[in-house]
Amino acid sequence: MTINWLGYYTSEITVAPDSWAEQLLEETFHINLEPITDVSSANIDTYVSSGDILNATCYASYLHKDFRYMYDQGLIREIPQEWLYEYYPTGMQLYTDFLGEEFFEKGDHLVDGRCLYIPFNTNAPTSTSVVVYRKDWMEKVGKSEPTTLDELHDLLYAFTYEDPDGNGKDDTYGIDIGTNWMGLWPVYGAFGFAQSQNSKGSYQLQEDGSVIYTSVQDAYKSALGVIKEWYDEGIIDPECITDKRDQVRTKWSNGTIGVMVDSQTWYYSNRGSSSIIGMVEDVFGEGTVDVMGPLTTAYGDGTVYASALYPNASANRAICFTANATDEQIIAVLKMMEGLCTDHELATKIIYGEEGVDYTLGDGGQIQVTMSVEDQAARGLGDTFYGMSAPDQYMIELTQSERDKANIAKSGAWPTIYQGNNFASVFNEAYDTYTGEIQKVEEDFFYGVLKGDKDLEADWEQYLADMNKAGLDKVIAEYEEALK
Amino acid sequence: MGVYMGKTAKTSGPPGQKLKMIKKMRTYYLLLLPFLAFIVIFKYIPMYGITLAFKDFRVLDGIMGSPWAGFKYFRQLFEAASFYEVLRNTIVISLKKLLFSFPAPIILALFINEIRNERVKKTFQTVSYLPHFISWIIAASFISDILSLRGPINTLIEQLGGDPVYFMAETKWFQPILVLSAIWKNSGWSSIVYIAAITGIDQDLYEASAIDGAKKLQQIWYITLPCIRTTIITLFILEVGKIMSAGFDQVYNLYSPVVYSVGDILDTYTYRQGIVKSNYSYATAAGLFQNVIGFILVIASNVTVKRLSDGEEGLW
Repeated sequence: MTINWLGYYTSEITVAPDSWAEQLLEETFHINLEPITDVSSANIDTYVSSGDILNATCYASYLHKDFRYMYDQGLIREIPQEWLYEYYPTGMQLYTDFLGEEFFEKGDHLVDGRCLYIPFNTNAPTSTSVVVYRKDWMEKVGKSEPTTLDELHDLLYAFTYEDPDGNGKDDTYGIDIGTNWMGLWPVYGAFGFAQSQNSKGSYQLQEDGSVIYTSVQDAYKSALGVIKEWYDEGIIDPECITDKRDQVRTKWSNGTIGVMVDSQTWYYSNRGSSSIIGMVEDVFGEGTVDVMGPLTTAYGDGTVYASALYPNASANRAICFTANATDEQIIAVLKMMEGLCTDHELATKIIYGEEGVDYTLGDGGQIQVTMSVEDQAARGLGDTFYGMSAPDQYMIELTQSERDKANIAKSGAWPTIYQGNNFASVFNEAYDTYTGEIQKVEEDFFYGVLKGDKDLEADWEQYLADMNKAGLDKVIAEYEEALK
Repeated sequence: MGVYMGKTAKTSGPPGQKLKMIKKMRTYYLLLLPFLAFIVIFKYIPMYGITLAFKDFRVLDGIMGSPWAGFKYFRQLFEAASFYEVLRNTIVISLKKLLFSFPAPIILALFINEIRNERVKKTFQTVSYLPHFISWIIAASFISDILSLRGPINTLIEQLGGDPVYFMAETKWFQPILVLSAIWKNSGWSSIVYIAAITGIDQDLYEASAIDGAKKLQQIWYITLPCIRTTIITLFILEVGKIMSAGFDQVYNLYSPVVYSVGDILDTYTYRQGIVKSNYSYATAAGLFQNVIGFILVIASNVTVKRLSDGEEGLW
């Protein structure tokens, strides 16, 4: 049996044909994999919209909403739920353990009530962002790790004005929030709400069944007031207005900023120098970075919450099947995934390759990837077949060092806040139509306040009116109707 | 050849005579064939895709098979809260580019033409062409670095006692940056056409004017510019047709949300709203709107030029 495989890669690297990992899978499962080799993350949208995706059988998607779009467009097919439990029982048990019994029925995984993809999640229970800081700078300015939002402010202030790197120049800042505003979640969290993954506003389901948008709430207004104060003090790098995520990371790694927030998956040590800890410690020495523990605050109920994704098994890299995939092909893939779930040695090879060739083992026996992503792609490793393997405790032990575990425990201690519902699985035409406009108004007001072009108090009512004019009330009404 | 073929096209006569002429000129027609094929295949045939703007596009049904949606996507476009802001930005940026960037290659060509040392001339030409070969993604990164708060421009400003300017985040600076960077990147390359036109000017005209006592600037004003007028007008009319498309690559790589109010143009807006969200019908509607306006502008500018020149100039 032949499976045409459309692999996933995070950078603009296409899947290599006849790679080492592909051959290993073919030999093990007596299957013929035909990877599609001319599609990368740069042209995947065009590939999908052209209908050429039907040349594939199996597709590791990267955005949840794509599934609904592709199903509506007739490009992918539904998967009978019972097949998941019949042919992929070990993987399904992992997700049941994480999401609870009947997670399908609760809709945590379904798209408009249909199963369109095989559940997958990279680090299911811990998808929060993490605050990391320069420990050496903190010691230099005579501070200790913050335990309150005010102490975080004081640390940022010292990082900006007390020459923490000791070079005698005024060339450092506390934090750079970047254009995705990721660095702001401790401030939002202090006011009891969480933004979306990109830290723009998020929709939240309330207990009474109503839906709110965080960025038009009074709590957001209060948080924005604090952010404005911090910005005016100069403790937020002013270039945050144009700095994209990679530029923030560059400033973090070259010692321009002392605190950074990024998603948790980026600080695991097995990423080596590309981890947000490794990129600093490789330059400034081991132990120069630490993860910040939870903070308390004088605002709200005194807790600073961390932003977390709604728990579901729909993260990127989940696998779906094109409309022309046969039942036999789907079952064959499910069996292959079950095989990878039960054979850890094989799963390790498919993702990380061979010890000594593709990775080394650290002092604690954890995998340290030594290859570039290009080399990994050429071997068929990394993300190429990643979506087939469910991350279980074995894989966690294999990839997380003692320090990682300690860091996870520390960052995991931040109380998390969820949206109350997996909004990505709810069809909302108004959302598709108006989100761009809504985000534009939101960004315009945010930056207007930061730069002093708008007044938070005087222009707030107009901002609310503009958000509704942009379509926010229509989106909320449609969500409330759908979630009744 | 161009003149000869132009005359041929205007020749009216019996069909046999036309066929005879075509046969005689068959080599030229054969040379033309690949380009005609290119235009037909890549420009005319894909035009059926315009119907996407009037359809609820479904990939599996294809463009022809998708159901009609009438003017749904045009209504969506015109009713969008920021459509008129985006439209205004597009026109303003294009007009500024037309005003400042259009004359730049002409001035550069005149300047290069006056360089007498061939080696210096060639070096200058090569250097001026180079930015054209840098993609906007690289150029934007370079421009952002130069204009950053810690970049060389701000270092200089601070050394001179001034306060640093956050150029990339200031609405008042964004459009000037677009115009200046467009001049830097495109003038050298665009000047090639003008240099070629200048090279074709009869040198006797300059010698005669020199005998009559014409100074250099007078030669430029009374000989060079009038002689390349047709080229300037042709390129001007074509540029006017691009007013609704203010430069996606450049703006997309340089802008950020903080300058949307002055920098978000139809192309970038359509990209975010249409392409990124896989809303191809919406994107096509926006693209069609741009093209129709561009087409009208080309016609209008051609008519205007013809009227002003008593029918002597113009594209057709």
